[in-house]
Amino acid sequence: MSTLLVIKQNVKMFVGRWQMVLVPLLKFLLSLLTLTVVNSTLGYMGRLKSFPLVLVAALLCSFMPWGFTAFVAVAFVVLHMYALSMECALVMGAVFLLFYLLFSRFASRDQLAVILTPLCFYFHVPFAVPVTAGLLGNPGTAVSVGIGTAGWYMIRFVSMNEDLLSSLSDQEINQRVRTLIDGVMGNRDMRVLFIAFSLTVLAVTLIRRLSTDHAWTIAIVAGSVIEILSVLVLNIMFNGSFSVFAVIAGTLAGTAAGFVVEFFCFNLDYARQEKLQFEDDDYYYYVKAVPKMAVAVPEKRVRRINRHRREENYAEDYAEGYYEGYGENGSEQQ
Amino acid sequence: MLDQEKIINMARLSSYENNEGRFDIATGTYFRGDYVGLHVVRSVICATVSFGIIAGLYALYNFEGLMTDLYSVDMTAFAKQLLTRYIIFTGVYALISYVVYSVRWHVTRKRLKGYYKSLKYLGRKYYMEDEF
Repeated sequence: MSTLLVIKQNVKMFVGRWQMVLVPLLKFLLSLLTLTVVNSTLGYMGRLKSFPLVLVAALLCSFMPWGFTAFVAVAFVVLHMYALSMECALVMGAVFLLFYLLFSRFASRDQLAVILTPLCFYFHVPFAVPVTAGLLGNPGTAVSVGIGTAGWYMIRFVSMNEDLLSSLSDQEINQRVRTLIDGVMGNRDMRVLFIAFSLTVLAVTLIRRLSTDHAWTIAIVAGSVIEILSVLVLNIMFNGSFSVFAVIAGTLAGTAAGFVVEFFCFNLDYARQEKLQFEDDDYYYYVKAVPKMAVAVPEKRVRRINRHRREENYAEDYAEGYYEGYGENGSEQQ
Repeated sequence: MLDQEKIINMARLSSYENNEGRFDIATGTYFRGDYVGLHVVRSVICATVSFGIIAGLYALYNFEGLMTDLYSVDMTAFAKQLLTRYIIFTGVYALISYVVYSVRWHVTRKRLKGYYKSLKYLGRKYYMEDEF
């Protein structure tokens, strides 16, 4: 355990020291990954797939807030849809605008969750999202995770039904719109995960804020149980297509991720907690102070066994008489 | 001689000012009624635009049906129905906004109280240093 704590301290110190470089670098890498995933999932517009363009967009995102990355990703999605069909772009653009107008106002500081949720879906670890997001976010994060989930299913529906959507002729515009809206709104899996993930994020956020001992651990375990139960119950209700094994395995991976987050962000030593009571003129105070678990990072001491090369050279030169007329400390001798 | 406690306090205050504090300080300049009212008005505008988009998507979805019924439908009843739905939609959204922004104002106020308390403490420390 102490080794892990030392590693944690070292990681924290490293991040603290290089924060100015690491944050833009992280933004750049995440933006690059997001845009690459959009291009590989949709990729109907050839120009947007050019690597220099993606690189420039990612570089631009690295110096901007997370909201800008989300905006660029949505712009890429809509442009790809436009290359497929104008109706797709119109419907998708309208739905994304609705998300922004109705939901994003309540969760304006959680754009990172909107970006990360579809990425986790792409890498087949969606069940890891709600517990982690609940631990690091606030109740509004439930909205962001919901938007990310709905966004991913919309993109996936278009990419899976690309042939159907592009094969309809221009006279069948109405049919194309109907197919798209029916496909997106009628997606049962999306409904299941949208509700289950939002519920889990809310539960985790509310539990972890409690002042009880091991609140974060309780939140992780309770959140995982709620996630499994809600997905399974909603799966039956909406006739979804999730297998029990996949849900449980995915949630367990999410639980493990939650414990890693807890170790780095909320690692307390409950054995040494203190409960104090005191009063002043106006109030009576009940204070619970729990110390953070930490160890002192061992300092590295470097002991020189060999003499420094420059010193050696100086000694040799001195012996050969190059510094004749000067004392050992460099002062002129009379 | 450096005062470690003062430096820690200042670092915390500075970190707050650069992150959450930016929004909180802006929120703190409003009275509760003004802050909530402003956001409810914004919400009504957003809800109106959203209702327009939803109505547009519905019209696109049911284009053929709407075209067929265009001359047979009772326009007054249709307009009444549309207006009722708009009022319900906007009303519910404005109510949710009212609750959310009221809670947000109170939470922000609490955080700002702590911030000003720390500032006051820091000011008192400077004053004591100047005195002695």
